[in-house]
Amino acid sequence: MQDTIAHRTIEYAKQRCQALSAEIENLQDKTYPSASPKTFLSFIKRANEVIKDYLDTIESNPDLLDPLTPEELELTVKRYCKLLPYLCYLLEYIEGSEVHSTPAALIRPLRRLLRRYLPKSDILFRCYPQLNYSFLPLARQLREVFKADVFQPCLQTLPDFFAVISFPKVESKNALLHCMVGHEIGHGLYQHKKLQDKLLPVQIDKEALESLASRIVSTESDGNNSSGEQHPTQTEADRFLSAKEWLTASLNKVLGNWVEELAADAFGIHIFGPAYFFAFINFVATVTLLRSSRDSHPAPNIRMRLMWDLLTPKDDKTGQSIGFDRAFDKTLVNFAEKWMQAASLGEPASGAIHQIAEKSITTSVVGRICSEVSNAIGESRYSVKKYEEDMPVLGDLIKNVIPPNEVVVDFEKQKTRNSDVVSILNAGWNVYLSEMQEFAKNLKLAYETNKLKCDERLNKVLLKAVELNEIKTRWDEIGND
Amino acid sequence: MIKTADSLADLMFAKEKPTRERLVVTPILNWKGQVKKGSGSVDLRLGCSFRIPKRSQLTDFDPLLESSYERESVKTLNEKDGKPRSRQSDLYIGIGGSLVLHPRQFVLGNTLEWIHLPSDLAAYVVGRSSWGREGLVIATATGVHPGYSGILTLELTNLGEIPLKLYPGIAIAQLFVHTVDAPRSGATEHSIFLGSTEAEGGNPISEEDLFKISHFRDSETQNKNPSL
Repeated sequence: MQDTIAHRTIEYAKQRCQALSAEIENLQDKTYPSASPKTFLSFIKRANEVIKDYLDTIESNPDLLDPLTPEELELTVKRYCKLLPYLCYLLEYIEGSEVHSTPAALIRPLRRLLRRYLPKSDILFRCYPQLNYSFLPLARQLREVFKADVFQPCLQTLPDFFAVISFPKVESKNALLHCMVGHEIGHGLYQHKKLQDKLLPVQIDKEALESLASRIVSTESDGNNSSGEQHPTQTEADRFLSAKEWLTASLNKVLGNWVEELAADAFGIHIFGPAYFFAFINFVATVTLLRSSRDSHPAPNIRMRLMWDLLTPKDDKTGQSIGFDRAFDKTLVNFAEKWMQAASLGEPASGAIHQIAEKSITTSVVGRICSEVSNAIGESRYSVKKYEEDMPVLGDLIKNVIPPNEVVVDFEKQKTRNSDVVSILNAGWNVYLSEMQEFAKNLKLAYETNKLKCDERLNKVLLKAVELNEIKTRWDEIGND
Repeated sequence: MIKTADSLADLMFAKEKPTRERLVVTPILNWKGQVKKGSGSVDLRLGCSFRIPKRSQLTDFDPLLESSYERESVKTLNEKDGKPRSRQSDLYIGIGGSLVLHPRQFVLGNTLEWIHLPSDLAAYVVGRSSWGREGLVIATATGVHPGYSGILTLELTNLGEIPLKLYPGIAIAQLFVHTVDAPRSGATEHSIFLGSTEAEGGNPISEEDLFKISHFRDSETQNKNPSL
């Protein structure tokens, strides 16, 4: 009987492996915009093979099975089989990363961009059904789950830093919006560079904290606490201390999240320049309230203030702008100023803890975040100089319905140079915010009655520019080898 | 007059002209190979996106059913059948991959290059003779009008006897450019293909013609139906 159960248990487990193997083969046949999905798939395949080999070994070795009780047998088989559901779950990331599910043209340039800041890293970009962007570091999690020695060769196929960035599937073709990825890459950089060690903990606003702790204690004393639990031997001072302790722990957690989010925004600005700021407004304006905080995210108005400060630094002596805004035309300045004005109006965040967290994010905390991010990113940030050089030329091409993948640098010698994904998207935002009438005119369309059609065309032209730019860059790289 | 490759290069780098009035062919991956001195054309490469007719799901292509005049009824019919309306499926093959074009197979492809013609130039796309000798036809609708801006859709057909393996990125066509009479700014009226970024199909009959022909057909049908 035990033998039958043993063999049946192993047989069923092998069925799971077989099914997983068939699905892996199916996914291997699909087309992906970069090598990362197949690298990741290869890891899943090898891990599945390790499990299957293990099952084959114990099945063909009766000496291992016979002495076992059913419970021991179950434990032996499940030692590795429990990883099968996890492997199946990982396949979900591959499913959304096919060419037709993703903004394919953007994937390689974004990987290239990431590697500029994080060499030896890889990111799997995929689309998912949520209207959100997200970042999931996987390497550490995988190394923890597959820590057994037998899986070590599989893990070696993965790069040191491996993460999944998810795009909203419904916005797959919206190239302009995808500048939001700068923030997600920022999460990766924040964690990889261990900025939490430098920026946390944040000093909590002591006065506000103690005032709230007192309010909690007095509410409890009035017998209005929801739990109804009061320790009879606790003095008011004890209760004050424990309320303060609880609040401090909660606030540290919230502030930890907020600082990471703000740092990721700062990275987004350093990587994508104004394009990240504009994409943020475009996205956030439709999905959340400007002054609404969550435990996981500070209110958008706080984030916008940090971004705007980073974009528009002033010269200490003259007070003149030395930031991106000096290259903005009037429409862009008006746009940004209106949004910053809207972000500064109204009541602060609701919720007592969030209000204290907001008070604790002082100018000095924001300054430290900006400074640490700036140090971490170094000289490879997107500069004002580059923005000033590129915008007029690239914008002119886009307005004339020409993808700005390359620009003429010397008319006499007939020389061109490649532009890059960040400049292309910034130029796209400039045209989108201030010159769509001209773009529509060159498409022979009336903008007022064809706004969405023109927006769609603009995004297609930008994606084409990014695609052509990447092909030319790779072509030239091969030539230089 | 057909422009030589040398003068095409001059037109692409005409500093004195505004962007709109410059010839643009981008990207040119290999200048010496694609814009050969003394030749009368620029070589164009095969792009990465393809559209393949869904033969097994269609009975025919009926331009009347593609018109906006008939669109509502088509939609209703398709909803009843639960069948998708699209006639073609998309296929993306990156550089380094390949597409096998079987004898008599027809596929829409596109040029890798984006073409922008100023108002004083028009162009023709012609297959490269070395591919023609293998049976490959790359375009049947070859004219590119002044003011056009976009990638060019190629109608790829294998008229030969053996399957052809096509690699995106290979030089597959030639663009002959010539001047036009009486150029004027904004010469091109709106075209659904203006600003094309991928191989696109379209209705070969104008909306106006479709409207009138549909009315002819309806009145014929009504006369033949004794109940009306």
